[in-house]
Amino acid sequence: MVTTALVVTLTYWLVNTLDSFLGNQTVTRPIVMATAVGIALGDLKTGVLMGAALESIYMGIQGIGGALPSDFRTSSVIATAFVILSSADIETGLALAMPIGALMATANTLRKTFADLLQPYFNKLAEQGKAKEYVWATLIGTATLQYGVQVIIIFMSIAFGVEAIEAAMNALPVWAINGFNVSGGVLVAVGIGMLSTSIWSKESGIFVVFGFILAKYLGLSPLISAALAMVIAVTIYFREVHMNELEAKIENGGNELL
Amino acid sequence: MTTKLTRAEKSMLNKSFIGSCLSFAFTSNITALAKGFAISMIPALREYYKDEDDFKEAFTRHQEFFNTNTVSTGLITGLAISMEKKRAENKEKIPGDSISKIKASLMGPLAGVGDSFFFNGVRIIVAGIAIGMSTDGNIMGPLFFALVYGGIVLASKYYLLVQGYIYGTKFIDKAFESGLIQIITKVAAIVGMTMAGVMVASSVKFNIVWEPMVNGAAVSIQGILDTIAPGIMSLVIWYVVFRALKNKVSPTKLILIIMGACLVLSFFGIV
Repeated sequence: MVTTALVVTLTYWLVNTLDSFLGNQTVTRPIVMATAVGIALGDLKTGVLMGAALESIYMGIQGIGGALPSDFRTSSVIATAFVILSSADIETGLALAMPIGALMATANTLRKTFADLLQPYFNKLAEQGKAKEYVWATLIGTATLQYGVQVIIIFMSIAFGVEAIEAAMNALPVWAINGFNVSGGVLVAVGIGMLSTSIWSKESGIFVVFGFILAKYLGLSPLISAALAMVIAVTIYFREVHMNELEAKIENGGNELL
Repeated sequence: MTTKLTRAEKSMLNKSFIGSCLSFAFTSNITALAKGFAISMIPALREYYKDEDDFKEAFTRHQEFFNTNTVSTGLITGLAISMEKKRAENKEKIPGDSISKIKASLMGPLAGVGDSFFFNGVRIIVAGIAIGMSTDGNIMGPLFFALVYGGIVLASKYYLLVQGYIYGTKFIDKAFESGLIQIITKVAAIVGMTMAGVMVASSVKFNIVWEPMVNGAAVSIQGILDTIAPGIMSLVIWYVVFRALKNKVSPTKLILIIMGACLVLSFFGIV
């Protein structure tokens, strides 16, 4: 089982890393991912059929009884692997992938946490202008840490079964995982904050509240919010032009205004 | 609209395109796709900023938060490259923050448009055809999807990259002559801040799960906050972080403090 697990895990890692290097969400779609697993396990036909079926399900075309495992990448890999290895049907494969999907939700947030922890290093490289090291760091980080946790989970679930995973996950401190989870939601503010500080001015600062209200309470799309902001901005601009003209007139002699 | 690009320009744009493919490599919560964006700017920055300090300034500037649809990264990169080119010619004409403002203004709307068209539109159509082709376990199905959808995405991104650059370089000169640049800077500043607010609303999350017992009843702190204004914590957090950054607190320190605080709060069951 271990070698098979290795093969499947390697496939998952290869496809995901390839996707990260090609611009995302193409080869990690179930239709390609399951096929890759099929090729790796020597059963192309089932791989393709699983891929097509999973793609339809995850696109909402075909229904399936019950909830879907949330992470379609790992679910596709695990479900396809189980179906090929134990000749189960697709529903069973997906059902087996369910608990993995829940674990994956945690793993996915941790992936970004690794990047967050290393952000200071990247910032330093940038400030020192070390472009080459920066690129290498990104490549290595993607190849190792981006999918590190998921790879371990997939390997263990195929090699040792799902129960082993659940036992291992239960041994991890929940507060730590939750803490990292929460930190992800808060750290975004640092990134947006850095952006805000570089473009901030006294007059435009308040528009953060404007955008927040539009998005949160009015539920407007980014495009509409941007359009609204643009309308207001153009109006303000022309007001300013008018004010500047008035100021100039006042300086040149108040009589003109009377 | 075909404009002749010099060989040097073509080579730079090609290198930039390859770099842009790393957009989704090692994404973080803090900067999202910024690494890939910064990497795709390197060929241009090396070309225009021969002075090492200028290069460092520009490269550091592009570390800021960046999140949009993969095809849209091409357009914004092209525009940013053209702005950096003009900036290198005359630093006062185009201050660094104006490039940040344009990025901030465009990334949200282009994400929406790009996602609707490519991710939810083209992808569904190609996938539908591919699924149909896969009926007998035929590998042509998955291959069709990977090559056609992938090809469309990459080709569109390249096209927008080149067009963004061409349009940007042409347009900036005209904008300066006609005085349009003032309007654009003003609009970009306001739209940029608005989009920052939009991003705070959608990406910054903080839920207090702590429910202290008061007089035998559980009081939901989050519930109280929600009655005042749902999601208000997101804005508060952004403001605190913003103030800290304005007061020259280093981002590194902030990151570590936030991580530590979240772990501690989680340990005590508050979040």
